[in-house]
Amino acid sequence: MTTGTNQTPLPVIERLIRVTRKGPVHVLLGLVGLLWLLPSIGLLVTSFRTRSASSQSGWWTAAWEGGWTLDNYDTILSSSGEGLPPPGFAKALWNTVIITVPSTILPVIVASLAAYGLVWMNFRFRNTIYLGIVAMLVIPLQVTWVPVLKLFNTLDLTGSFNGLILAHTAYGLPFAVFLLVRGFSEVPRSLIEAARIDGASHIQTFRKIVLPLAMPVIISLTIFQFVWVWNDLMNALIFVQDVNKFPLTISIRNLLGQYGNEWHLLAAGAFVSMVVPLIVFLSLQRFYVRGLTAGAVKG
Amino acid sequence: MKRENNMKRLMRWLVPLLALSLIAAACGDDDDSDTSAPSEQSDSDSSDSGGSDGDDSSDGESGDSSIGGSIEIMSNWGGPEQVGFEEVLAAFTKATGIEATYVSERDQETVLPTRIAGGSPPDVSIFSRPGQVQQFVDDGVLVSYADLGVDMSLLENHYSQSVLDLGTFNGELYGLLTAVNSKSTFWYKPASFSAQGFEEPSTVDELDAIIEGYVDAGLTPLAIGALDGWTLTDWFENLYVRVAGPENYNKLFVTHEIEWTDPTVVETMEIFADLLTPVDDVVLGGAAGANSTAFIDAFDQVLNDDAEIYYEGGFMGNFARENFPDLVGGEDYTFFPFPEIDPAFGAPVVGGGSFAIAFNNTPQVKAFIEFLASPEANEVWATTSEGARINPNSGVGADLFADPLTGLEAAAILAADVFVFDGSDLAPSAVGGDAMFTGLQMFLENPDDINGVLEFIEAAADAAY
Amino acid sequence: MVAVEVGKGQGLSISRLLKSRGEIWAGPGLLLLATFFVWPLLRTIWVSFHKGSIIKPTREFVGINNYTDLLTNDPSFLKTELPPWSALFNSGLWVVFFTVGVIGVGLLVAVLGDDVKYEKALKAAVFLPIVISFTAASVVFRLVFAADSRIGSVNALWTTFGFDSVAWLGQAGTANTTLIVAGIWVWTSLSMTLLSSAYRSVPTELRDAARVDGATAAQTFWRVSFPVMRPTVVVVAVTMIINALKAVDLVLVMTEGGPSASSRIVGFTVFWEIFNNNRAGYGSSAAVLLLILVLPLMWYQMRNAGLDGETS
Repeated sequence: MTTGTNQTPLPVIERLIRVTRKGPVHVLLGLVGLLWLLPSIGLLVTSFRTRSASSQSGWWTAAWEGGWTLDNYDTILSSSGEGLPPPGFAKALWNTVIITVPSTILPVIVASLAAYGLVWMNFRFRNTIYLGIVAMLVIPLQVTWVPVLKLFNTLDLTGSFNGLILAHTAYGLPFAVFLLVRGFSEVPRSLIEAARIDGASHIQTFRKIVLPLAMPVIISLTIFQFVWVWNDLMNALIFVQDVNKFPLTISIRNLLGQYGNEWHLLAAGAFVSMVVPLIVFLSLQRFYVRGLTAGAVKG
Repeated sequence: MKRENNMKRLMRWLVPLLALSLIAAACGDDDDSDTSAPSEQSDSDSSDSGGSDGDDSSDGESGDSSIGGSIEIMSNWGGPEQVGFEEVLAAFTKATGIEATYVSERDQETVLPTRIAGGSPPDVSIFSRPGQVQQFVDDGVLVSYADLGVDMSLLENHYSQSVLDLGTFNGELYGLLTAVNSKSTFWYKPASFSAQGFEEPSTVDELDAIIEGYVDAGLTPLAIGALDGWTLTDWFENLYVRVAGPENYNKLFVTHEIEWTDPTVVETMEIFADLLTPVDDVVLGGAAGANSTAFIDAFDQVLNDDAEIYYEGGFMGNFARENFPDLVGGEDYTFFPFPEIDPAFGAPVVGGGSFAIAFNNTPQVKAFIEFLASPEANEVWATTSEGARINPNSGVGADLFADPLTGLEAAAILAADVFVFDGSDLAPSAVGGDAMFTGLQMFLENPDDINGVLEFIEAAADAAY
Repeated sequence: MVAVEVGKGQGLSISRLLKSRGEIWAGPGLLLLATFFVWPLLRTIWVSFHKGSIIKPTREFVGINNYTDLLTNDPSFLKTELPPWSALFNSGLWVVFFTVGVIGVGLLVAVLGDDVKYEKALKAAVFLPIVISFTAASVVFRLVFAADSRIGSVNALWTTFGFDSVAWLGQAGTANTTLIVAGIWVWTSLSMTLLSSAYRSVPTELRDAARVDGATAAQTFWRVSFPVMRPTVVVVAVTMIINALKAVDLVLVMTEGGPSASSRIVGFTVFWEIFNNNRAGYGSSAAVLLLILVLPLMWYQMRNAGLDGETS
């Protein structure tokens, strides 16, 4: 990966260390990589096999046992008729995008503001509030469904995208605040004080100092919130009640009959669905810049 | 500095992206014109919607007046079953002009009560656990058929009284039984039987002999998908109703007048133990293997010739067709009826099905229920391109079914003297959906400790009824 | 308050407001949290003292009976005889082994895999499990650990070594462990990502200085890098412990808590009792119990890595 802001070539020491870091380390890493990758490869192979082939032989035998088919993907991708029941693949994909993008951006924004307030500003009860927010991480979401649904009904938000987006924003907050408070606390106090002395407002301090320095944490949070919402099934089931608004997770799940026989379709569905989050993950990687605090003190 | 550039870059597409998506979300919400059912369910004043939407529908077909409007139906059918049901709904729309939206919720047991409690239930749900329906009735959230104004003679003409009784709670009819299946079908491979010289057993003793015969021949007789605990409960229910009779059956499951520690239950469990022991020889993979095998996978094992016979309901035929397209139903695999124990009770059919229950009192719901009860609807349902269902409706002949095995099952259900509903669905969910599963899985692991298992289930039952 | 004072860098009065009151910055967040968490939590606590269904949760007041039943009368939650597989016990195992596993592997990849040629591929491989969704992950693991050695990868390997096939998901002893393995497979993605970025933020000058002073790679890590990363490690640990308690999705699809309720965890009990058994009060009491159990953790986290903006 890039070495980020450091313009100087790597010091000799680093290069020396790197040379000695061979052998056992690489073997170990290779083993981990393989272990992690194997189940995913198994799933990939299974997604190209027929149901009967998968139930008679393991995926690693697929090369000679056969049973290859494109039907699973065909079923997932086609929009009508034999394919996904309403709303159809294209609409479901679009629905997922509509739900996921705001549900990622909003909690990050709200949590950033809240975390800044909690860490760098004074207000009463802030320790208690922080403790409370962290405690909310523990609350299983299911116990919140009924009261929230009742509230949505009075606000006429039931079954709308806005309701689900609001719910996701709220549900993502505890972890987001938790993470960002940690990230924002890492900013050296000296920097903040220097800025305040220079007359910067909180907004300016937030934008120019805290945000850039905490960028890696914010990126991590964004990635995970995105993946979480993209793959969310249960909350969508509860809050989205209109068939045409179903996201991909629900419409793929509904390919299963009542008895769940068609899990081979789930395998194909997983790979189709994962393209977007994977792209998000890979493209946001470049915002992970190494050693940000290095050189910051000079600023 | 580069990090500032990164920040700026991020901001530059962040704001428009957010704005765009919020606009899209808002537009998506206004987009209700192509959906048939607005998600906000009002109560009984949707007669207004009848007037406004009723135009673009059918051409004055028969049936009730084209009242138009819309209806939202929820059930747990997906995949092929959904395809079949949508065809039935298409026929409904053609006959009445009412737009019908089917909402498939595989997790209906979770989603439905939540939506009810949250205040936005669907119009109709087709729900397979009568025990839970009883709780809905007690909670006061269902509309009875009498309140809907459903034409009772329509129902009485086409359904037997016992079927209507199944959907009657607290003295009122709340649910029409649809999409039934028989769980008294025992699957076997004719080739395997003839190789061993076996014939279809008519008593459980003969079945036991077959099992022992297989073991002696060095084969594994049974594959059980006990990971799905309800398969074990189905075994138990068939055995129990043959040991104790249908009245006691209902006393055990519906009213809890008979407790789980009752001698009839003990006797049943002893017969069950006789059939299954020694578990490691009789059941593929032993208790641990069975407890980690899902029920469809277990059937696959039989069709793959790892085991010889398999017990579960008539719907298994569908999976055999889907998963083993090379095998021929009726020739390579078929079923015999679950054998008798006490000749006095014969061979009752234990079956499952789903009840159409109503949450909103609207003319569209009334029209839907009446349509569902009509012979025409049930004929459509028996002849759909996929997911054909059997209905206990007198207008449906067993010969309608494209698949011979389904026809066989339908004939068995329609001809049955006694039809009892799946016990684990009759009981409250804490018992039928939890304690029975766990208890019977424990039994499989340790078939000697019958009393321990029964006390465990009884403890849960005690709290639940 | 409304007067606009134009001065050097003062801006509008709104910003002056924002400058002084942290409550406004945190306001929207707090409002959402109050609505979506605090209010339902209070309601849950209230419901936990009753017996009822989802639709009518407060049908009957029963005091602390739900709690006493849960702790003394429910062998699937707390078993007092061996073997001890029950929700509370299993959650204990999850908390220990899952957390250690996830952090261990996460650290391994984050630190050792930093700046190697195949770093991107390695990290993508570790990240992949969480992208494929829990449902798909459960399908994979059901296949991987299938009892039939022709289908199950693990058993296929196991039998080539001459052992008998093991029904990993079907036995009380191994079911919970298998689930923990699946959990580690999925969640290392998060720990690796956070620990990676933490490792990267360790100033290279510090590390170089240590090496110049003759420290080995290991010493450099433990004495220099790790202390800088420590707050993040704590965050990851806390998050993972909480995930361990709440991981309902995996358990639900892979074993449904079986066999014989031997692979349940506390979070699963909450979900199962409320939604499957329709016992809202009983399930709520398990949820409250969960919260009580985690409080010491919260307190520790607050004490050791509190709110004040501090650097190492």
